[in-house]
Amino acid sequence: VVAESERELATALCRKLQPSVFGALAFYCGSPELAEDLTQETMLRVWKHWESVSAMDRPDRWALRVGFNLAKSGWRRRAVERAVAEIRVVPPAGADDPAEALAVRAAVAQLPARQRAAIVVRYFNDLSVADAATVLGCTQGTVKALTHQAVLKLRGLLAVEITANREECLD
Amino acid sequence: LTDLHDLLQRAAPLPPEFDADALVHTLVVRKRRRRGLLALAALTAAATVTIVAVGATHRDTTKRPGIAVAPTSIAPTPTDSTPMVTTPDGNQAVDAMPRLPDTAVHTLALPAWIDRVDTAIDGSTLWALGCSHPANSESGNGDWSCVSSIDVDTGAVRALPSRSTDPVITRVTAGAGGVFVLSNAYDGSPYHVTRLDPTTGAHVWSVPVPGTSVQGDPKARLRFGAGALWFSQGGHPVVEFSPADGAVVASIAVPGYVETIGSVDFAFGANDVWVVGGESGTAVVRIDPATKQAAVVADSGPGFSQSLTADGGLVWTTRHTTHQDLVRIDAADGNRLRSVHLPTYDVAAGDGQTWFLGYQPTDKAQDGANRPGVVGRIDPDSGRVIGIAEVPIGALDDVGLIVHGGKAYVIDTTAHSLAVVDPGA
Repeated sequence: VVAESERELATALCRKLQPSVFGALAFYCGSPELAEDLTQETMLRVWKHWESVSAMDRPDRWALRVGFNLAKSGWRRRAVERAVAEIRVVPPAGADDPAEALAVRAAVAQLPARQRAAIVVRYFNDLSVADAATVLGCTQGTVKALTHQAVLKLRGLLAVEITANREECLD
Repeated sequence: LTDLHDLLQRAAPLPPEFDADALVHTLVVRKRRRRGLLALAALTAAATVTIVAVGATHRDTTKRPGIAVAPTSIAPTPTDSTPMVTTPDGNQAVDAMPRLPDTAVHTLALPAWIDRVDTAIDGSTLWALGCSHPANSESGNGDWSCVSSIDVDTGAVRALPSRSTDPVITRVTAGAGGVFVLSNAYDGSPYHVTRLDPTTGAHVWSVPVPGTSVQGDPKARLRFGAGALWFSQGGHPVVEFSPADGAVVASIAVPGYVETIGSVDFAFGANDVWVVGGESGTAVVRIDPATKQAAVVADSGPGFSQSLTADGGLVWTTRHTTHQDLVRIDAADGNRLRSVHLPTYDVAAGDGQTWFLGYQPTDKAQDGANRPGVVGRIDPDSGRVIGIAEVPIGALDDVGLIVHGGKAYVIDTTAHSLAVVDPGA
């Protein structure tokens, strides 16, 4: 699929994209294992469509959109629903997962799917409202509304004062 | 104040290392698989999956019921290899067969204590081994000394409030208004056949099976049919019991029958009792219930059979060697009409319908519950596979196929489920 000469470029891009795609999907799915599977599948798509991906200005947006679409399709959607339902109860903290991290993941999991996706691409992936709208396939107004609702809910769930100085009005 | 971006960054799990080699490997494997699937699709388009009669050169017209025949190894015939899709292990690719139209599959959940497969159906009541009993509750397992009934219409399960005289029941069968169980103690004592009242579980009678001594893994079979109870453990006489009082009606020596390691099975035709079974035992034996005479009417050579069924003048059995075959026998003249290789584990027939239970050969390595399985329906006249329906099945030792009332039932004691396959839905 990818010519040998292009392989290094594709590898470099995947290496760059992988942490952000994986992180976003881990929050969205509530399961690092499922996120790893989805990220792998996303990276496969990058290689498969390298000719077009290599010509993109923002392959990160494309990869995120592919990842979210995969998570919302077919059997994976049901797997995501199950994983999210399980993580809503905060598990005991382990050495690699401090209590704060688990509490945050559990709180994000309690958001509705669209709010979850919006908050993740806006505040984990640091995308602008316009870019987030492209990734999520909705209008910018929808992104703002979803993010606004999500932040308000997270404030309540985490019982901390969250600052989210973005384009959305959080009052 | 906590910045949401920082909070999420801190909370994100560590990403895995990116492995380009693994990615390339996956792409190559998928590409090969896709090529294979395309080839499979092309073959499927041309394939007509049929069970064919053995040609005239393979038919031994001297065979008649009641005449013992020597084992015959039947090699695949040219007609067997007419377009069909085969897997690397030589079996016919069940998953390439057409799906049964208008067939509904719904699954009823069973309790975990229905833990071993042997079933008998009587009306809408399916009898199965295992029950929930306080005496064994601490183990978390089912009690092996009692049986349960399952209403196949509603899925309601009722443990029969009764225990056998021996610790373990290995077989259950039903008929003539009774439930009959075969039990043993694994201590060298004989098998016992016990008649239970299907409502109260009360023991009506219990008798030892003469000449038996059970140690190790018992494979004996008890079946009700042709108005009587029939017992066989292979290599020994077939014993006929009266269902009324447990009296031994006959002890029938079976010619050419070997000591069994595999399963034994009975089937009942209009005027015949059929028995097959055992490692190295593919001999199909016909017993005339009137004269009590037994004869081998077909022997498909090396291998073993695990399942036998009869309906509408045809007898069907599975043959396991390196392949699996479904063998069709004409009950009238004993002629063998052989199938192509078909990954069958069980075969059952009734009310003009013949079904086989198989598995998806491409997923054969997959263990545990919900392994992809199929039930397929066969046109008994032409032998053509009409189509298949997918059913979730676990380990093959823990599944059983029953055909009754125009439906097929697949019980799975690994997945604890009963799949009801309704071809008329």
